[in-house]
Amino acid sequence: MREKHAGSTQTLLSRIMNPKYVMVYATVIIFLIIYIYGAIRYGSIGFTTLRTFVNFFTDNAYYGISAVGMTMVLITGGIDLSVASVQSLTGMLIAYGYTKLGISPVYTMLLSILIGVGLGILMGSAIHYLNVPPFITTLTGNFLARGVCSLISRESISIDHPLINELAGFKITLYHLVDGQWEKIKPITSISLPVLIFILMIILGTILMQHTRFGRNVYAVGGNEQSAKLMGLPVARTKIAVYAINGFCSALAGIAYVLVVKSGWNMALQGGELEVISCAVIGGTLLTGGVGYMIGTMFGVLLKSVIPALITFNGHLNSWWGKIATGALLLLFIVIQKAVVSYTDKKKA
Amino acid sequence: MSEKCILEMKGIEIEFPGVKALDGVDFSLRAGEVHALLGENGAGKSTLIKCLTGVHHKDAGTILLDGREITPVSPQHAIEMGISTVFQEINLCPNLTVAENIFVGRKEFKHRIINKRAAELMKRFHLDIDVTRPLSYYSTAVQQMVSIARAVDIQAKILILDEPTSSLDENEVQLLFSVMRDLKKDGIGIIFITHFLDQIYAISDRMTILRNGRLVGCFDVKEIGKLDLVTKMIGKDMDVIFNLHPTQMKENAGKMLTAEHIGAPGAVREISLEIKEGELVGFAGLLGSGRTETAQMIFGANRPTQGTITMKGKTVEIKKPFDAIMNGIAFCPEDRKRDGIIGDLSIRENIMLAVQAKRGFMHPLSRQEQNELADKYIKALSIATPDAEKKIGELSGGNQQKVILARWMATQPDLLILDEPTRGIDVGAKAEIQRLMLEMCEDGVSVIFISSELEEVIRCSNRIIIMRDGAKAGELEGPFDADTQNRILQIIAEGSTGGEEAGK
Amino acid sequence: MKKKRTFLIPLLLGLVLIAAGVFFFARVCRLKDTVYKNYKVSLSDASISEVFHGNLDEAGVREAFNAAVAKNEKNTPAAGDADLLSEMSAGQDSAGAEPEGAQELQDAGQAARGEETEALTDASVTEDGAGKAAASGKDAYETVFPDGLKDVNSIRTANRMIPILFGAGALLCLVAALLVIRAKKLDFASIMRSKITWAAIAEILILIVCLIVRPDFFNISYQPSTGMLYGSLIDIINRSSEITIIAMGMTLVLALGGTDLSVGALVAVSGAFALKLLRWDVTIYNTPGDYSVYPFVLVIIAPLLTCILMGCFNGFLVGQLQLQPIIATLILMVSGRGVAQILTNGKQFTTLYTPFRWIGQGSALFLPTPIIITVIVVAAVMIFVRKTAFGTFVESVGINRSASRLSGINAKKVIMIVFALTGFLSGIAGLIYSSRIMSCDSNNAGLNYETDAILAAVIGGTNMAGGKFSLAGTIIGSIIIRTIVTFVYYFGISAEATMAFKALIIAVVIVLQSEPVRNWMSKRAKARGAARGGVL
Repeated sequence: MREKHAGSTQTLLSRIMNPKYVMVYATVIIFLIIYIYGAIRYGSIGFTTLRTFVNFFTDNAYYGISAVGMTMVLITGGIDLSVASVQSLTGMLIAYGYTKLGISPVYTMLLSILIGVGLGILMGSAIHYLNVPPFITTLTGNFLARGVCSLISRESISIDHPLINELAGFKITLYHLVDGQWEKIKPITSISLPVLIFILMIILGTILMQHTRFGRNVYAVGGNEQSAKLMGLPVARTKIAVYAINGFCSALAGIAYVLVVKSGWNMALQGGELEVISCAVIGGTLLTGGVGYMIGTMFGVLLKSVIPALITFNGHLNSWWGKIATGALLLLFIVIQKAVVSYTDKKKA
Repeated sequence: MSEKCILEMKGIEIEFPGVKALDGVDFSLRAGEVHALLGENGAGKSTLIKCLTGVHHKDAGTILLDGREITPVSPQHAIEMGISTVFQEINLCPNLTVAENIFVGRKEFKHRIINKRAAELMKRFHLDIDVTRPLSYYSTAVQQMVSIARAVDIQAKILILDEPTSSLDENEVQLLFSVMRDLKKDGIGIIFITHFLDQIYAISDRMTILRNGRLVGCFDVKEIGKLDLVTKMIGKDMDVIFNLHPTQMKENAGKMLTAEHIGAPGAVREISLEIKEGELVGFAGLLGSGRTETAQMIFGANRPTQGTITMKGKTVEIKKPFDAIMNGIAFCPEDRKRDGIIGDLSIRENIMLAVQAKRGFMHPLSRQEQNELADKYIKALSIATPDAEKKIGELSGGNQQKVILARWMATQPDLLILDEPTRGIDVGAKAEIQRLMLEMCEDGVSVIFISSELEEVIRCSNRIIIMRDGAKAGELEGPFDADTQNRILQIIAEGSTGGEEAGK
Repeated sequence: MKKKRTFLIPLLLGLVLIAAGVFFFARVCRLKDTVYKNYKVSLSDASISEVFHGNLDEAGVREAFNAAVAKNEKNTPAAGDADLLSEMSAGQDSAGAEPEGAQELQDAGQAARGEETEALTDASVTEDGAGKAAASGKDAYETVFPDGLKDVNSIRTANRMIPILFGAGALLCLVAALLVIRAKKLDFASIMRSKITWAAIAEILILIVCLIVRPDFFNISYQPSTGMLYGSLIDIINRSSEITIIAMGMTLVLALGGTDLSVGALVAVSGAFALKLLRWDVTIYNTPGDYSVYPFVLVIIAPLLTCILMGCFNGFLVGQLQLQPIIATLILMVSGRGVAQILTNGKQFTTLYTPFRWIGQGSALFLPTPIIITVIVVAAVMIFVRKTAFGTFVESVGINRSASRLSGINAKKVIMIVFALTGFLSGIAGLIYSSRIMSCDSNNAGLNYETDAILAAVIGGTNMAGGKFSLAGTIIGSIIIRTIVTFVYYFGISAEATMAFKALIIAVVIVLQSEPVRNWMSKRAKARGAARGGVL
């Protein structure tokens, strides 16, 4: 061979240092740097407590759930701008259904999941069969969901249903062992249902993407759709399924959002789709498709939570620095991505 | 090797808008043979393969697989029927690992299993690589081996290898051949496409030659010599008879372009050339020999990393095409669709584009000037169109080529580089383009003419430079005689054997 | 061959008729002006037609006219009302802070704002000028019509002629257009295939439905107090100004095959910066008033320059670093609003500076200023794009970047100019927006403008994948979007719900424009052409 490679012997080190994980490592390292910085600066006022850490998950759990689906869409090389509207619509359906019509949230939850999946299939089909750019297709989906949401009601409707209350109140309080006895961690730290769903979805997403044939096909379609077709992969089915799964995730995220705010509002989560996309991009997902990991997306969500937390702990800085920091992070990550891509290109040549 | 045919294609016809890509081609493949499919670019080899694998759909003809008629509708369908393919461009996913690339779309998907099996498979190819790394991490040669491995591992009846060796070195090629011999023993029929003649003789049993979408013939490898083969591939279009002769050079013609030791890694090692005013220099050589790459360097499409270029006695720095245009150089690229036409724009806009780029957008040509320009060249080049506002994408190949030529003639260049201007266009248009070329030389314009068709190079050129392996292999000065073609073929086939002194 | 110019006859005739209509309309406007000058009363259209439409004799007209003036005097808001209105608008300006219902209030505010301006001006002049004419002893009729019945009759004629002349003029122009189509031998099918034609047809259909729902939809009336024309049509064009201006740039970005998501954020930055310069340090200049801390020229130029710079940043990322436009502009989309908030320290400044108010709420040439600004900007962009070769370069790069480069076009430069231009246009839109609300709103200014601008361009026939574009189509697209909003308003449906209607219309448009459908249609058209014997 012209070049000597690391060899096929798979040591643990070579497996960890696999270049395909570079972007994920970058995200984790930047998260750690920011976290350590926070710990040094604000450790004395509670930055290092487990509760603060769990709150990183709690703050953006619904975005995180949606980001799982979004990551898959981005891996196919597509984009979905309708996620936030579908979440909002879900909230509205549940709230309006119970408060105004007296329908049990169980049914409206099922209905909204059906709507999410249905809209996903519709958009996926338009993208694949009609060749309409994903951007325009899903923007239309966004308008449709938001518009229908506003047609239902323009007020913020609060929900007071035992099931919702119970689900929202569901908490797993964390204990730790002190002198042989289980005691509650101080300050009291508990994990809410949205966080559980979020973590569950990350795990399910990882399994789906890494350990099933479907996941492999998704990566293949994103890597090179033409090649995927020539390799005999079911491109149409894969693409449509990805949008359907994303619709499911959006509806689920909407349910999680309802559990947090216990109300439905037609203008809820405006611009949320871009928050979700930026979570995935910061987590190392390439917008050009083919690259991305659920675990990276999870750290992307954490990174989006840690910055506002730092600003809160600082106490002097204003919230808008969060936006600028997010923009700067995005810039940093796409420049890193560009560098990685052009480095591998150069290596090949 | 049995005499039984596992695959028979009869009277295959495929038509693309404006071009007949395949016209009544027959092809047959026996079990356990390596069958070479030969022809110059645009001869229809890839189209035939894509028809067999369901990428393109045939307009006429029949395909028999094991005696049963089949109509492949998609690559997936073809794979299911036992037709496995390595396409010319590496058709794998760069983001997946080597193992994943080999096994995606197949039964096995568990990482542990596919990694183990992929590593074993790669061992068979004597490749000691980490199969868990993404494909893009490895060189093109490795990628090519991986795509071959994927195709081989699918238990197929027919294996198609479309230029699998273009980026492999000698050892790797030998490796591939040993794998191919193993497969032959298993009774698999292999269709092998390559530009390298030596490889055909090393591995193939039979060969089918195509030219311009038509069948030249099917031959036993043993019964046909190398020279004979090249002649058949490149062909003599005896049906085209013109009275075209190279222009008479002026006695005191000055130097137009001098390139000294220009080169770029991976494309051209090093080349020096000199072109006089009004001279037509033909470039001959096989694909990838560096003829196109040299032209691109002169035009600034690829920046040379070394050497100097002098135009009309003045050393010029050409960083990008714009610089070249400002120095009076024009370039008709090889791939008309990708690098030439702006499909959705009108003929008028396509013609005026380079002139406008030269002037800058703040000094626009008025609509009247544009119309005059367009009308002038539509008439001069007899472009077949109702008016100048027709989209160039809707024209036939030959007319598109004429529009591109018009674009460059309108800039009134001193040096015009034409890379395969006559490929894929009909005979009449070919003749007209050659006539135009010669007329421009008459007016003192220097022309570099690159073509795979030796006939036309010999017919038009004052001088011919023969390229081989990224360097100049020989140079022949006109006037040419009947023997020139053989001499060029000899240089192409066997390398430089003192071609420099020839003709002088 | 001599060109046929038969279309000129109906065209000229139509234009003459329209000009005559304008002349008569001006006569009515003069009447309103006279009344206003003397009595500070804005005569309503209804009163005019009541007085002059019938066949009353002079005494009858005198009585009716005096009564009308007196009636309208009562309806003209007094100073107290104006205060109330301005309070309301202040409330709206700060409404953005509350998340809930903010949008709703804002839209209500936008609808009310036209009347509010009018009311404010009225209130300020009524005090000093009221009753001046009344003191001279003549009644309203004698003051306004010194020539008596002759003047009255001229108003009568004018009032009758206006709709006839405009209608006939428009009809003749339509005939002229049809003649042009025939003279140019454009075949009907190719016109029907053009995306602009369908956009225009859609707009006309929506307008017709509007007319059926509200018969007075096309009415345009003159307000002497502001010297401005009012009417739904003018309002539609006025309110579509920002999107139209931005969509000019967006069209070019799309033609390059890109997308610019940052325009909305740039609108916010531009407004915030302008307000910052007007108020500078709110702790020192702590009450909003009719002043500007920095020269007005700077207030206009500095935000525009900032937006150009931010556009250049986008252009750099897309052109030089070759990042995907969506993600490259997402950076500024996210952080741009942060920048806007930094400029204003997160507060919402308000101002009462008169020259600044003029940008969004003033009038020029009897029209709201934003319309005039839009016309100038659109004309400038069109001239820049179509009278130079820039438009062709943009299309060429968008269709085939590689071939364009080999033809000598500097693609990076073209991309840079397009993004800088889009930034500049967003800046102008930002100034108009903040002048309309006389405040800056970093969270809501320019919200969803990026999608509206993209839609305007796509509806107007520009392909998102790059290539041929049409600025005229974009204008129609932008107006369609605004017409839908106005139309839906009439049914009492909220602004947000219009999104559902937008979605449906876009869905139809994109399906019609999609590749497979168009291929199918062109195949059918070809088949039909072949059946007819074929043209070429």
